Amino acid sequence: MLEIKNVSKTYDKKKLAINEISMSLEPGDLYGFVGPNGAGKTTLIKAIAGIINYDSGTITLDGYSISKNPIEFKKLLAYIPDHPDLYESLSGRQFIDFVADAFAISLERRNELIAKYAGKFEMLEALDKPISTYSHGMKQKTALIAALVHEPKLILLDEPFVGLDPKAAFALKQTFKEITNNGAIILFSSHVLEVVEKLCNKIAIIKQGEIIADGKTGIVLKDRSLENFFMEIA
Amino acid sequence: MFFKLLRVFFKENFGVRRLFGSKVANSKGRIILFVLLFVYSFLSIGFSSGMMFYTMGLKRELLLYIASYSTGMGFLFALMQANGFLFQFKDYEIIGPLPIKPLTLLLAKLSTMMVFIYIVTFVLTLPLFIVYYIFVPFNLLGFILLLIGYLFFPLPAIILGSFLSLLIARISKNFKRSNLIQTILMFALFLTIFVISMIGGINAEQGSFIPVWVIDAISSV
Repeated sequence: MLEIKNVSKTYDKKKLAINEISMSLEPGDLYGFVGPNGAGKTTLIKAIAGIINYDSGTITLDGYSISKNPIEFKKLLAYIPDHPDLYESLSGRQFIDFVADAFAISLERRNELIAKYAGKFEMLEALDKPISTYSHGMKQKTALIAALVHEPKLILLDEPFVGLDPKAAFALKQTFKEITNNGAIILFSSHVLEVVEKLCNKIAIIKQGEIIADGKTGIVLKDRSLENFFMEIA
Repeated sequence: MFFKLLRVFFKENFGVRRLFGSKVANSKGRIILFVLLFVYSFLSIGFSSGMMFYTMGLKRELLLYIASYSTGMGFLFALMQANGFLFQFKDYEIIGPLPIKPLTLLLAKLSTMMVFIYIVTFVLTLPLFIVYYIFVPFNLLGFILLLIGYLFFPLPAIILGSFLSLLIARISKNFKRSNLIQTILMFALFLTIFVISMIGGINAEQGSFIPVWVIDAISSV
C-alpha cells in the first residue's frame, strides 16, 4: 500500500509546487493523475520516486518510508519519466540488464520477462540495437520493459502514452490491467483524459499543487465525463 | 553494483559512439582523419615544448612543467566537468529510482570523472614524458616516484576545481538565464587565473599545488 500524508514541496523557497497532499493507493489500483500543466503532477511523482526531496509529510510503501528506508522502498518501485534519457551508448538489452542487475534479478527470470514484454511491445529485434538509434517511442518502450522486468509493486509513470504508436499504447493499457490484476499499484499522469477515464479505477485531479478531487472514478465523475468535469474545475 | 555502474558510465562517456556520434559506422574515414590530426597536433606541440627544455638542459624544469601542466589541466577539466559528473548528472532520473546506495553512485561517478581527467591529461602530457625519458636514462625508482607524483599532484587542484564548479552552478541557478551566467562566471574565472598567472602571482615554483620538493626528489634520482 502506498500512503502519502501531508506532502508539501516548495522550489527555491518561493514556489509552492505541492501543498499538503494526502493520498492512499491500494494494491491493484490503477490510478490516473490529471491536472493542468504546472499543477504539481510531476513533482509529486518524482517525490514518490525519491528523485526530489520534499519539505514535509511522509511517503510510505508497504511500511517503508522513501526518506528513511530509500533502498527498501526503491526495491519495490519503478519510475518511468516522460522523456526517458537512457544511456545511448548501450543497446536496449544492455540497459534492461543494467536495471535488472540493480534489482538482482536472476538471468533466467529476466530473460523470460524480457522476451514476454519485448514481444508485447514489438521490440524483440530492436533490443540489440544501440539506444542512440531509437525513436522516442522506442526509448519509452525500453524504459517500460526495464521497469517491468523486476516486477515492482508500484509503478510510477509520467505521461506514458506520449510518443507511443496506437499498437504500443494498446499493449501498454493491456499490460497495466494485467499488472494491477496481479496486485501491483500503478500511478500515472496523463493529459489524455479519455484513456484515464476508461482505464483507471481511481483518479486524482490536482490544481495549483492541491488535490481537488480524488477517489473511485465512478464516484468522482458521477454521470459526467472526465473531460467535462476537468473543464468545470480546472 | 559499483563495477556495473562503472562499466555503464565508461561506455557512456568514453564509447566510440559517444565521442563521434551515433553515425560512427558511416563516417569511419573522417573519424580516423580527425584522430590522426588531433594526435599529430598534440604530439607536435608537446614534443616541441619538451625539446625546448631538452636543448636547454633543463631536466628539473621539464618535470616542473609537466607537473604544472597536468595540474592546470586537472583544474580546468574539473571546473568544466565536475558539476555535470558529480552534482547534477542528467541521468539521475534513470538511476535515482534504482535501489543503489548514494555512496556507491557517487564513487562510481567520481571514478569516471577522475579517469576522464587522467586520460585527458595523460594524452596531453605524453609527448613531454617521452622527451623527458629521451633526456634522462630510465630509472625504475624515478619512474615510480614520477607516476605517484603524476597521480597525486593534480588532486588538490581537481578538488578545488570541483568545488568551484559546484559554486558557479549554484550561483547561476538563481538567475533566469542560468546557462549564460554560468558561462560568464566560468569565463571570468579563467580570465582571473590567466591575469594572475601573467602578472606572476602564480608560477610553477610558487604554486601551492605543486610540492617542488617532490620534483627535486624525482629529478635527483
